[in-house]
Amino acid sequence: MASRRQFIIFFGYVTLAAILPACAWWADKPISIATRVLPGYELVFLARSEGWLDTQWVRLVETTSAADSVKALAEGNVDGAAMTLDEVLQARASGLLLSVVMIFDISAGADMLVARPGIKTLADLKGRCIGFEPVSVCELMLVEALRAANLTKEDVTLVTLPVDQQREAWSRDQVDAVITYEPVATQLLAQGALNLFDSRRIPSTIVDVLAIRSDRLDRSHARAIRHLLGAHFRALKHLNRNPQDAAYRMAPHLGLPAADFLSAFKGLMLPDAAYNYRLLAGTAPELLTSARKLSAVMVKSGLLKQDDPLTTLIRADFLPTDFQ
Amino acid sequence: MQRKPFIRVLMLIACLFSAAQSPLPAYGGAEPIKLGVLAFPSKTQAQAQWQPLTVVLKQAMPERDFVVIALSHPELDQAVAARQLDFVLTNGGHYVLLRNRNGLSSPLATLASDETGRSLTVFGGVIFCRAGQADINTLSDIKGKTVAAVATESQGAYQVQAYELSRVGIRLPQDVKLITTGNPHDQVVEAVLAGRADVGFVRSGVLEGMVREGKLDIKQLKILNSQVLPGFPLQISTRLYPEWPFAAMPNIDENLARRVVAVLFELDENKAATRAMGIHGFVVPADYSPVEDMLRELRLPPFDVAPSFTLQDVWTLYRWQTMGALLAGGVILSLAVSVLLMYRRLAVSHNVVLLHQQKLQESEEKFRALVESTSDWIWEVDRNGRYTYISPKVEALLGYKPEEVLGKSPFDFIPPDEVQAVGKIFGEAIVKRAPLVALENTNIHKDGRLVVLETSGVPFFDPNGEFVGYRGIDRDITERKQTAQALVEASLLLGKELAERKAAEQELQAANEQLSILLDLLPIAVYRCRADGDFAVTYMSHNVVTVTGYESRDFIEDSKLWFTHLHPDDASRLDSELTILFEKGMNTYEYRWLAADGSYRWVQDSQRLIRSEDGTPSYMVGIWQDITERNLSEKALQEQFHLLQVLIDAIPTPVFYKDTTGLYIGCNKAFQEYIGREKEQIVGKSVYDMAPKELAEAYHKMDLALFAEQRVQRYESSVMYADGTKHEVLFNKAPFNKKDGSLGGLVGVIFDITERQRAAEEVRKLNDELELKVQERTKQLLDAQEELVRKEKLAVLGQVAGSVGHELRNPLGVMNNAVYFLQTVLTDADETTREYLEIIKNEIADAERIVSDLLDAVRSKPPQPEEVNIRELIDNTLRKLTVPSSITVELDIPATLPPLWVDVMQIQQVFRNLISNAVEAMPDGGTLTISVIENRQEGTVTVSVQDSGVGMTPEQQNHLFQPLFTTKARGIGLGLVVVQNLTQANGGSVEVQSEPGKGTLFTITLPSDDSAVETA
Repeated sequence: MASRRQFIIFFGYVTLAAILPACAWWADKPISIATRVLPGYELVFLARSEGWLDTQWVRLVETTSAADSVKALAEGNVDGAAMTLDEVLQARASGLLLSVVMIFDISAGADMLVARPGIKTLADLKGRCIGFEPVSVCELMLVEALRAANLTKEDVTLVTLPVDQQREAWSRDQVDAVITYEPVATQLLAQGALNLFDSRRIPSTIVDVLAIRSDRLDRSHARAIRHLLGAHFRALKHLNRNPQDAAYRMAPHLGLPAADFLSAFKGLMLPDAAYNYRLLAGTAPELLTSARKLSAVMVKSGLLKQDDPLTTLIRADFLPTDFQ
Repeated sequence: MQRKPFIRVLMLIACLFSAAQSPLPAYGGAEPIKLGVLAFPSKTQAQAQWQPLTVVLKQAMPERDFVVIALSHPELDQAVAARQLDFVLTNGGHYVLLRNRNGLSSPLATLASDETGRSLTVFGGVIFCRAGQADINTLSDIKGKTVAAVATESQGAYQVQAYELSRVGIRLPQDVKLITTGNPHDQVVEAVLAGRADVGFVRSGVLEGMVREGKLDIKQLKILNSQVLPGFPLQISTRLYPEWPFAAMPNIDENLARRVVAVLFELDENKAATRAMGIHGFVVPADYSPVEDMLRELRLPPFDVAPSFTLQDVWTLYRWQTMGALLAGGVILSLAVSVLLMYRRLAVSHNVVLLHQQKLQESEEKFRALVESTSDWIWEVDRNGRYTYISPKVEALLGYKPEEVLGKSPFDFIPPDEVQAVGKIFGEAIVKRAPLVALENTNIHKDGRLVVLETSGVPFFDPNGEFVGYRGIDRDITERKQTAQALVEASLLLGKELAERKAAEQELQAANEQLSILLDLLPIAVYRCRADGDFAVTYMSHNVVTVTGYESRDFIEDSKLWFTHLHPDDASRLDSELTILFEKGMNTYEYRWLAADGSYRWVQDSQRLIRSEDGTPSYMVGIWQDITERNLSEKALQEQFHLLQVLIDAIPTPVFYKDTTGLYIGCNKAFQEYIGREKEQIVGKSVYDMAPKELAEAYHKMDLALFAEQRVQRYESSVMYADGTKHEVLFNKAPFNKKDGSLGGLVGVIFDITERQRAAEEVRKLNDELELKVQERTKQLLDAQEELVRKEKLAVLGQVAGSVGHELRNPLGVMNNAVYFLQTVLTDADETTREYLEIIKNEIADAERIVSDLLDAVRSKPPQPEEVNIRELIDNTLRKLTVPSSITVELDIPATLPPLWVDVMQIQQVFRNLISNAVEAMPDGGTLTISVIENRQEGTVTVSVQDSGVGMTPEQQNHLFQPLFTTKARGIGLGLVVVQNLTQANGGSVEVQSEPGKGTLFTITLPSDDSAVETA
C-alpha cells in the first residue's frame, strides 16, 4: 500500500513538472520598453551594449517623442516607457493605467528659464516674449515660473519654440526669454543669458521615471522588470565608478562628443537603488507626495482635467533590495 | 602568487643598498627639485621626453633647479620609499600602489596625452594576435595560450587586459603561459609576430605609433575584443582608465606644489614645450577609483593579500541566514521526537479499543436475531427524535430500507398537514417521559400512498439516569381505517346531490325574470308570432307601448292590428320582404306604421325565422324599432350637403378636398375647369392620376408634410391650366379632422396670382432702374469732385515745385561752376581726384535733371527724342540705383532690338521710378524681372518691370496714377504720375497688373526708331 501511494505522489510531481512550463500564464514573459534618447534614460542603452541587459527579456524601443511612447503604450506595443512624471499623470488621466517602478533621474537645475541680460527678475518678464517647447514639462516650468513672478500667461507673449531652434532664435533676438534644458541651457548661458528660474525651485517635480502598464505588473513579467532595473543600476554604478570610460561608451548613442558627455548630466540627479527605495517605498513614499503636488499644480494650470487619486501609482516591489 | 614574496624580498634588499647605489644625486642644501618619471617606453626615451619640462619649470621659477629622473617600476618604488623624490609621474596602477604603501599625495594633475593633435586623458589596453591565427577569435580562446606582456606592473600592457580576461573567467597569470618582455612595448609586438607568443598585450596607441614609424603593418595583427568607441581614436580592447597622475610626495612644500601645478596647467599654451614632450598638457586630476577597483579585483599589489575571513565575518554577512538555519533545525528535531512519542501512545490505546469492539459485536448479533424475527417494525430514536435503530420490517410497512430511514425523524414520513397534530401528542408524551400507547399516525409510503400506523413505545435511560431516547414498535392499521372511511363518504354524497338539483331550478326561474325585465327596458319592441296563417302574435314585449301607443295585449288579442296599421304604400312591399325572410331565414326592412296618436312612425323590423326540427317554419321573432327621428336627420344632412356643394361650386376659385391617403373626396366646378375633367373623373382618384409623375410626387410630398405638421400650408407655384395657359398660383391648404378628432384629410384652395405677380415685377424693375440712375449720378459727382481735388493738388504742387526747383537750381549751378573751376585748375591732379570730380559733376547733372523731373510732373516739357539703345538705357538706370543683395535681378533683353526714339533722360527717369518702386515693394527680398519684347508690326517695344513683392488691391490700382497718392510709408506720390506723363509725352503708354501678395507688373510700350521716323 505504502509503495503504491508513494508511486502516485511521485508520478503526480513528474506530471506537474512536465505541464508547468507549458502553461503560458505561469511562464515568465519578456517586456518591451519605449524610450527616447535623453541623458537620464541612457544607462539602459549602456547596459544593453555592455551585455548586462539580456535583450531576450527586455526589448528597448526607441521613440522620438513622449506622444509616440504613450501611443505605443496605449496600443499595447510596449509594456512600459521611460517618461516624465507629469506625462505619466496625463496618460493616467486619459485612461491608460501606468505605475512607476523606478526613477531614472530628478531634474535639479537641468530645466531652466533664461532671459536676456536686461531682464533681471522674473517680474520683468511682464509684456515680454517667451519661447517654449509645447511639451508638458516646459509648460509646467512656465506655469511655475509665472506663478513665482505673480504673473499669468496673459501678461506675456508666448511663442512655440522647439529646443533645437532656440539658439538660432536667441541670436536673431526673436525672444526675450526661453524655457530650455540641457545642453542648450548651458550654451545660452555662455551667450550671456541669465538663469532666472530653474528646476531646483520645484524640487522632485520634474522626475524621469520608468512607467509600466499596471496590467503587466504581474508575476509573469516580474522577472523581466527586475532584470531591467538591475541592469540600469549596474550601468549607473559603472558611470559613477569610471565616468570617463562610460563617457566614451555612452556619448555616441546620445550623439554628443565624449568631451561634452558628462556636462549633459549637469543638473540631473541619478538616484541609485537605495535612493530609489527611499523615494518609492514605504507607506508614504516621497515620490507620492511630489506627485500629489504636481497633480494639483497641473489641474490648476489646466494640464490635467481632474486630480488623480494616485492609487497604484507607485510599485516599489521590483527594486533590488540587496544594496548595502 | 609565488613570485610576490620574492619581489618583496628583492625590494627590501634594494632599499638596504639604496644609500650606496642610488642612481639619484645626493640630498643637499640648494638641491634641485626632483621629478621621478616612470621609464616608459624606455629609460632613455622617458628621460629625453620629460627633459623639456625642467626647462619650462625653470623659466617659471628661476630661483629653483629641476631634474627629471626616469626610473623603472622597482626603482621608482625604492626612490619613493626613501623619500628621494619631490614629484612623481607614473601610471595609475603604480600610483595606487605607491599611495597605499608610501603615502603619496592625492593626484595634483592628470596627463593629457597627444594623439595626432587630439587631447586624450584616458587610455586602455590592446589584446591582439597574429592575423592568421585562426584558433583565437574571442577572449575565451586565450585560455592556455602563450601571452606576451611588458611586465605585471604595467597597467597598460598587463593589468587592464588581465582585468578584462577575469570578466570572462580567465585568471592571470595561472590560466595562460605568461612571458614578459620588458619595455619598450614594441618587443611584445615583435614576440607575437615572431611566433614566440600567441597573444600580446600593449598599451593603447602603441600599435598606431609603430604603424606611423613604419615598423608594423596593422594587417599583420588581429585585435581581440575590439571596442567600438566612435569618440576614441585608438584601437582598444579594454575599458578606459585615466591617464598618468602627477603626484607630490607628502612632505613637499605646499607653495612649491602649487606653483608647479600652475605651470603644468598652463603647459598647453606652450606649444613648443608640449610638442617637444609629445603631450597635450595636463588637466585637473581624474578619479583613480576605477584603477583601484581593477587592482582589488585582480588581487594585485597593494591588494595582493587576501583579506582574512573569520567566523565573525560569516556571522556579520549571513546573520539572518545562519539564525534561520539553526532555528529550522531545532524545530525539525523537536517535531520528530513528539511524533515518535505520540505513535507509541496510539498503539497501546488501539489494542484496548479492538478488544471492546469484539465484545460489542457479539452482543449485538444476539439482539438483532431477536428483533428481526417479529412481524412489527421495531425502532429506536435518540433524544432528538432521530432513528438510531430500525428493524428490517420497515421495508414491508413503508417501502424504505432500514439504512434509508436511519438518522431521519418519524416526522419526515408524516404528511406535512398532519405533522403538527401528531407532533403535539408525541411532544407532550416525550416531555413527560411517558410511554406512547397505540398512537395513530399517517405515514407516506415510498411509492407515495398513505399508510396508517399505530405507534407504541417507552423511554429509556443511560446508566446515569439521563434520558437517551425511545424504543418501540409500529403496526400497520391502514385497511381497518379505510373500511370505516368508505361508509361515511357514501352517506354524505347522497345528501349533496339532492341539494344541487334544487338550487339549479331556482336559478333558471330567476334568469327568466331578469330577461323579461331587460327586454322591457330596451327602446325596441320584441315580438314572436306564428310563421303561417294569420301570423298571430304570441308574445310582445311590454315596451311596445312606448313605440306605438298600443299595449302588448292589444297585439295578442287582435291578430290583424299590425297589418291594418301598415302605411298603404309600404303594405304592397310586404310580400316581397316576407319572401326574402323565408328564403334567407332573416330580413330587415323599414316601413311606416300608424301609431295610436294617429301619426305614421318610421319603424325598422328585423325578423328571424325559426324552423322546427323537420325544417318547416314554426314561428318568427322580430325586433321592432322606431327610426322616424333618424330618417328625419339623415334627410336634413343630405339637404345641407347639397347646399354646401352648390355653395362651393359658386366659388370661382378652385377648391378641392382629399382624404388622408391622397384620394380626392370632392371639388368645386372651378377645380373641374382647372383640371379639365368631370367630377366623376376626379373623386376617388389621386393626384398621380391627374398630373405627370414628377409633379404629382411633389404635390404628394407637400400633402404628407401638411399631414405631419397639421398646420395651414401656403406656397406659390407655376401651373398649366387645362386650357393651356400658364398661371402663377398660391396653394392654400389646411388639414381637417373627423368628428372623433382623428385626421380626416385636407382642404385646398388655389388662388390665381398671375396678375398680382406681374404688377409686382414691374414695380421692382422700375425701382432697379431708378437705383441704377442714382448710382450713376453719384459716381459722376464723386469723379468730378476727385478731379477737382487733383487739380487743386496739382496747382499747389506746381507752385511748391516751381519755387523749390528754382531755389535748388541756383546752388546746383554754383556747385557745377566750382567743379568746372577745379577741373581746370587741377590739371596735374592724380587719377582718383579727377575721377571723383567727374562723379560730382555727373551727380550734379543728375540732381538738376531730377529737379526738372519734379517740374515735369506739373508742367510737362516737350521731349527731345533721339536714338537710344534700350539695353544701355536699362543698364545705366540699374547702375545708378542700389539694389539690395536680397533681391535677384533677372534681365531678359534680346540682343537684336531696334533703338528707341525717345527723350533719353525722360525715359531713364521712367525706368528709375519703376525699378525703385519694385525694389521698395520687396522689403524681404525677391526677384526683379525686366524683360523687353519687340512688336515689329506696331513699331513699338514693350518693356516689363515685374516684382515678386507685396502687390496692390484693385482699389489701390484705381488711384495709382493720381498725384499725391502713395502706398509707401515714405513717398510723395509723384513717381508714377511722372512715369505716366513722361511715357505719354514720348508717345508711349503704361499698363499695370497686380495682385496682393503676388507682386506687380508694369508694362511700358514705347515707339521704336522706325515708327518715330515715320511719324517724324
